[in-house]
Amino acid sequence: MKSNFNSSPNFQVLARSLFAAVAVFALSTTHTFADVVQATYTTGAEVPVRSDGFTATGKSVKLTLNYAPTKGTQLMVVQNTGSGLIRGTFSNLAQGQTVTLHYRGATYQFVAHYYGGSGRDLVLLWTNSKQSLPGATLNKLDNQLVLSVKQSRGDPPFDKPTTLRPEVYKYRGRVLVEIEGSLTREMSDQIASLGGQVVKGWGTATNFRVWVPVAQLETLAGRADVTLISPARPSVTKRSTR
Amino acid sequence: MSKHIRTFGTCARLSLLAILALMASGTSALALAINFTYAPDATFTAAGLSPQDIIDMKAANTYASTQFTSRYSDPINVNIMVTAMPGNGGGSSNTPFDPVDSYAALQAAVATDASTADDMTTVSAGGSIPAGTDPIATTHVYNVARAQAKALGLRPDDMANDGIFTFNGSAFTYDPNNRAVPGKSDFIGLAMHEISEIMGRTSLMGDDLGTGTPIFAQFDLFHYTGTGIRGLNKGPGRSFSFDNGTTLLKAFNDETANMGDNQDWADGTNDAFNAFGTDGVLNDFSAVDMQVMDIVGYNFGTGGPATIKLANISTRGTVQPDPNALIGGFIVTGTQPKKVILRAIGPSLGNANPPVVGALADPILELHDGTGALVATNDNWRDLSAADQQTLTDNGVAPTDDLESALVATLQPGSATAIVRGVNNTSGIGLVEAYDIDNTVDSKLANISTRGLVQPDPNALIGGFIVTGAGTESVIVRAIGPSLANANPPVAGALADPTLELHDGNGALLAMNDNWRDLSAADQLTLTNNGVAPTDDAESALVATLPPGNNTAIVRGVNGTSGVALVEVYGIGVGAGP
Repeated sequence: MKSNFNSSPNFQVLARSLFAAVAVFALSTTHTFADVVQATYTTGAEVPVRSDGFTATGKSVKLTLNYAPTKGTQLMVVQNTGSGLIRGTFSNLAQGQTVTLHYRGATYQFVAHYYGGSGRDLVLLWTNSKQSLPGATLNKLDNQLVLSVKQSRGDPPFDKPTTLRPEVYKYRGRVLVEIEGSLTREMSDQIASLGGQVVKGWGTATNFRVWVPVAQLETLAGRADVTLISPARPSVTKRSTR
Repeated sequence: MSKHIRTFGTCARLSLLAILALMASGTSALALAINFTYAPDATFTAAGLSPQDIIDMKAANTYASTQFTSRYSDPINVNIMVTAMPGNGGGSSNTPFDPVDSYAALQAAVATDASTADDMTTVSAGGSIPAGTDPIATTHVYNVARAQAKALGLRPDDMANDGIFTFNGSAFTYDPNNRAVPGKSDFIGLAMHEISEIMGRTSLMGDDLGTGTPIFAQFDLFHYTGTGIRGLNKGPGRSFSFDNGTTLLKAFNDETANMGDNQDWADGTNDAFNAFGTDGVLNDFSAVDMQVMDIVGYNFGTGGPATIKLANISTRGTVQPDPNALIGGFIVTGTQPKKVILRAIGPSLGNANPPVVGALADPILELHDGTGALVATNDNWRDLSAADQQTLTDNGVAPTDDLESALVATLQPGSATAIVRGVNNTSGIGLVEAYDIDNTVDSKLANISTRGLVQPDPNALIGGFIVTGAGTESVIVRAIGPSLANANPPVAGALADPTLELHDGNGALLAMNDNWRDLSAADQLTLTNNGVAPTDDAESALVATLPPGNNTAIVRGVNGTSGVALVEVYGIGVGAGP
């Protein structure tokens, strides 16, 4: 197997001296990687990038499938041999993002997980299944909410133990989401009937917050008057006077 | 003077060893990482920063982050976006939160993470987060900061953003060695403030953050107005307490009165966690700040440079006219200047319980640097500048007698000497002391050696030192006598055969030694490896690992003999973290 990764090693020696007679040297290794990382899979066993301390920030990845993967396939993108986590993410591949790959007319879906493999590797986890969400729904749900739905159903990759975790504000089975759409009385009633709740006093008529049971996200996304559902992330800003 | 400096030659060797030991233990053993992602330079330029300012600002952030990463060991990444806006100082933090399913789940996470005595108290029946009934009866949800959730084991470590630090304008000083600059604000103090908020030192006090339900942060559970009385509001009278209000460690700011944040400290001593700061002052990461970060969920590490330290070292001895002045030598290890208070105490010893008979009536104090040059002198501490007098007061060490002497000094790494004499060559029992009052630098007050006249009780030579922090400190204590006669020039009247006792703060005898060759092979090796094995077999030494507290080393002559001796205390690094 030939790696599609083109790189040249670049070693960097950091020296720090202490007094005239004493010097302590630390050696660190860094590699320079191409701005666009090519990841092509012919057997599924490929390791496009193997690195001790990889920085994904500022780079993108081109994923190509040259074979028909089977259910449960896990594709390695970056095998991180260092003790730290991969720094940043590829510009076109977020944590938890659903990736659609094609081979001979067939479509295969994976989920990007930067904390997979040994816990520090970027892997693509198989998520194609009969229970996969329809494309129209997928397009209205943020990646993290798609993951939440799959997790609630036990769909791949949540059909077996995984460290993958949707980045959502979830409390007792309900997630806090922001909906782009027109909040009508009928929609509000439906949300309530689904076990959800509109957050009063937040947002506008076309952008509002809702607590909704994870299992009901797909129903809401299926509404014609909902254009996008994304996770809300409560935060607080504290100001210091100096 | 020169004789004294040469006498402390071994100290200089230890200084080097100590620095190497610090570097060897370095931050690699500590897993907490704080990672900054910076806005484009154009953002900082628009805020008024020059290209050099941008470089210095990033270095200052790194310096600020090491104040945490060098002290806490949680194996997590705290990921912070740094940006700026035009303005005139100050800044803000934006902290995302994670909900916790129940009080029981929060309590369990805090209990599982508990590692220090303060943590244990926090989750005990008498603590601020005890097991059992939720202390808040009304409808609410508990939240923890995203980074804090990782520290408490409530979410896995990751590299996703944990918060945003925004600072305003460019009226800052970024230099770690020059943080109190007139007309400038201490950027490092501000950065530590905002970083700590992103790490979880932040409050909500029922704000709903757009969720529709009142939210309380874990930090809110440390707000008290008195024993057993929580202060779950933003108003006056609240203080930080981890033992259910029994001990009110420090007062919170009254947000309802001044709009400053309610989880910050009220005005008082300059502190990185204060709600308000002023230009021209250094805002420290104080001891109580470090304690707070431990209690909210960050675990002290085993190699934090200033986590555990000798905070005060002092020696009591007989002061006589030269050459028998009381001479205290000490060493600052590390790379940064260290702010200390030096004192020469005499007449107030007569008021001690029991009173010291023959106390020196009127001491005078000199500070010399490592070259022997006179740096400063003081006869009566009331003659110090108002600022220095205030520093003594703020640190609780203002002498009780106006005739006593003190100095506030910033010492460069290396050796220094404090000499106590009696005014007009008078004699008496005196005390020479050094206090470490700066927790913000990597340097340590690592050693004190005091030379004085040993006489039969009650005029033994007595060295006192205080260990502060969390964990233990390994020390070497020595009593040097006969080898002083071999110094260059030789010390006349050297004590021929010293004995050494080490006592704890209750006066209990911890260990004693007459001849250092009687120590265990391991302890002898420790002395040798640190370059401080005595050169005369009749001299005494002890190796001890001590918890925080007061300790005393007493040097006497065998069979009540008299002579000039040295009592020395070396901090040889952290013994063990909590």
